[in-house]
Amino acid sequence: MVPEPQDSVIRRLENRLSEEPQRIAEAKKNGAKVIGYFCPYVPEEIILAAGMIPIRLAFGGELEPATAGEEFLKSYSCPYARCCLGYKLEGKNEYFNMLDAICVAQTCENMKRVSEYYEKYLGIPVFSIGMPHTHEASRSRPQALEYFKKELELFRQRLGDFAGKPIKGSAIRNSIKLSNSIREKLRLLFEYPREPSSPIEWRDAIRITQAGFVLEHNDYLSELDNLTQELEKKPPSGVKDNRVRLMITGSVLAVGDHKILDIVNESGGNIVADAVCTGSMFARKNVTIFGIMGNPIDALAERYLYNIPCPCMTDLDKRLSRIAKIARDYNVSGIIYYNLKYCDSWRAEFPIIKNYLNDKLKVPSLLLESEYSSSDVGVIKTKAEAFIEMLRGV
Amino acid sequence: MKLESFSGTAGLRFDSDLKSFDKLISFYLNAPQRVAATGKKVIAKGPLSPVDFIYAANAVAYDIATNESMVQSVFNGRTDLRPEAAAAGMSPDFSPWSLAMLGATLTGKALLPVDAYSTASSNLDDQITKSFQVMAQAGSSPLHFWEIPFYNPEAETFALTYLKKELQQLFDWLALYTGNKVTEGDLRRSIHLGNLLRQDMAEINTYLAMPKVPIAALEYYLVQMMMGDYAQDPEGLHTHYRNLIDELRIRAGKEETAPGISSSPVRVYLMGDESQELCIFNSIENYGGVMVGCDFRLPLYYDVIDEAKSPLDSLAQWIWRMPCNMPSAKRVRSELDLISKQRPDAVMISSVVGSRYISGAERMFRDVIKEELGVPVLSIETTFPNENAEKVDYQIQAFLETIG
Repeated sequence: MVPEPQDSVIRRLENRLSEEPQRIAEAKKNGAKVIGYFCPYVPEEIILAAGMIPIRLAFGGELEPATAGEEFLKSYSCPYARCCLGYKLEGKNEYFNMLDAICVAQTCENMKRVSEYYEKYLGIPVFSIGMPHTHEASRSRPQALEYFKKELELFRQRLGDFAGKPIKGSAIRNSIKLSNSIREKLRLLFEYPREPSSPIEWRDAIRITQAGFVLEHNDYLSELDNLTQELEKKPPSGVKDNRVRLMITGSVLAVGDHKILDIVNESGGNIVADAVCTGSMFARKNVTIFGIMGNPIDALAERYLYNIPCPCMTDLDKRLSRIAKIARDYNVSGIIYYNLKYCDSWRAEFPIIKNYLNDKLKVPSLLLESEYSSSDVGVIKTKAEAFIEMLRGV
Repeated sequence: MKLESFSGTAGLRFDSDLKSFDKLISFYLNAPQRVAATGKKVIAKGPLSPVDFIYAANAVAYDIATNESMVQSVFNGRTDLRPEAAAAGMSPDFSPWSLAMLGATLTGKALLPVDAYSTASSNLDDQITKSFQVMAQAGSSPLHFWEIPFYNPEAETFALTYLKKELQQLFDWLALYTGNKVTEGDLRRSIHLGNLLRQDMAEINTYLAMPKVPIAALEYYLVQMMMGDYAQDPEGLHTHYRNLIDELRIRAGKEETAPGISSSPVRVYLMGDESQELCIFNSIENYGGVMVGCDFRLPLYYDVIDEAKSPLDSLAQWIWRMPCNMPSAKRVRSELDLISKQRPDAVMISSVVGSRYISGAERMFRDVIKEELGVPVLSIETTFPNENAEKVDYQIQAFLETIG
């Protein structure tokens, strides 16, 4: 049961979410442009600095748009990627209907195809950002960072052309400050579930994070301020939580993709931490102060390239150490490894990550693989129940 | 060594009169023993990852996905590699190429032991990149990825700078693991040898462009497949290609077509994902077609590497423009001239279930080919050998009969 204080903020956020399409429509009437993006390698600070509205199009979890996406992608493609096309084709998601352009970081093969179909068939301008896939936390490949800086500079120029005016460094610095403040507040939210009697559940933290994918950023920051103030005043509940503490990692956990979370919850599990790109990873790591004082593009490149890499990037060591650190810090008993079917990059790493966590922390992992249909609910529930039961017995 | 004698290829039609092809196949199948005898380091690489610098380091390039799959799954008809890959924790939803490679490697059944893994990451194939990570970790083998940056003409200057630095780091890594420094002279010689092979392939393609095609689809496909790693011995492969070209020249001089090709066939260009279903090549001819081109390995021979300039500069520019490195629409447009040269009446696009590479772009390929070349297009989908042979055979029959 979610405690009362943040309930009020979540309600306010949800009200805001229901009003947001109308607000964006008004802004568009006044000349604002809406830029959608999918993967968190796109620095939204540059979009904000252009006076445009960034929207992270992380919607999924529904069968109909995934099926609609099969007009372009095969049924054996990632269902999230199919949704990225399907929502636009169906015309039922207001955010997709309001797009003026999309920006796509060239990450996995599925997302590359999504950008190509948008460009050729959907009449939407596409800004592509070349991504180095081979880079390491040890910075042994400085050329990757140099290249990425130049790609971001090119993006800035092209977006400026689209906006009809150059994007000033001062505007980027201001948007870095705003985005950093948001990230700081979100990180605080994700800190709470470390404690057994947290006044906020991880699941609320991720809902709040995902609300920020579409909400106007200044308003969103105000709401986050309110929420953190309320949480600070809230004493620990003192109620003993008997649920099994779990961490979730794996494929994109899209806005609207509740199936696995519901099943884990119903099976007696309590997800308290994550390593997913739509959760705490989105808020991890600020742009350094050098971005505010010095060249903002250099600082953005540093932040976005060296955040925790998606497994379509080759830096496995950094991914392993980060996942292990979270599992340790949050004192979890098990890992839910969520794999969207046909998400090859995450799927291939499962045996490696599972063995690593087992060897280093004695924390077992459960692979739950799914598409956006209800046909596998029974099987997943059985697996989740058995896993959580096993963890209770440990 | 004849392919007819393998359990997995029984029932397929081969051109038994083409003697140079039999010798080429023996050369290909004997490669693991030959390589082992040289004592050279074996570097596994992805199917479309270039190889010239591996040979410049006096090592052997091994296209592990193609060779393990083709010899073990396709020729020998082994069906146990897929379940073994799954038992090792891999997804059964991967492509048959990845699963056969993983099954063979993770269970120690690979034809050729690999010393190190290195392939281009980024735009070539996510499954290969991830599989290399898994295999290297399982075998505690050295692993080095190198990046081909996203193809965008606006970014050419800085992307090429990046690519050259990646190549230089790759050369350093090769020196470390092979004990052989990649000198400019070594690279120049290796590029020259690769160019000879690229010219061989271009010459073989001229025979496919003729009104009477002297080489059958199945033989052509297997010849082209060996470009994947220059068959682990570029000089040897060049010799065999020249012998094949000589034999094709004699046939062409007599205006002879390969056995199985009808007198006025429908000219079919095949593109897309490399298929393990070899019967499709026979089916093209069985129903009145002739294969006049195939782009499965085209990115490795689409053009020669400029030998007049610095080898590093030339290599980087050539890699950057490899068709497989381009976004799908650009890729297919970059191939249009090469396809047109072969004068096709129709195009077939092959997708492999489990592969995200071409299958994801199949719709784009189909539409661009129809728009630009105005020829009919058939999309086919295959998986492991013999799993949907009958369906594809019917599709090809219906397509060719409709056009013919």
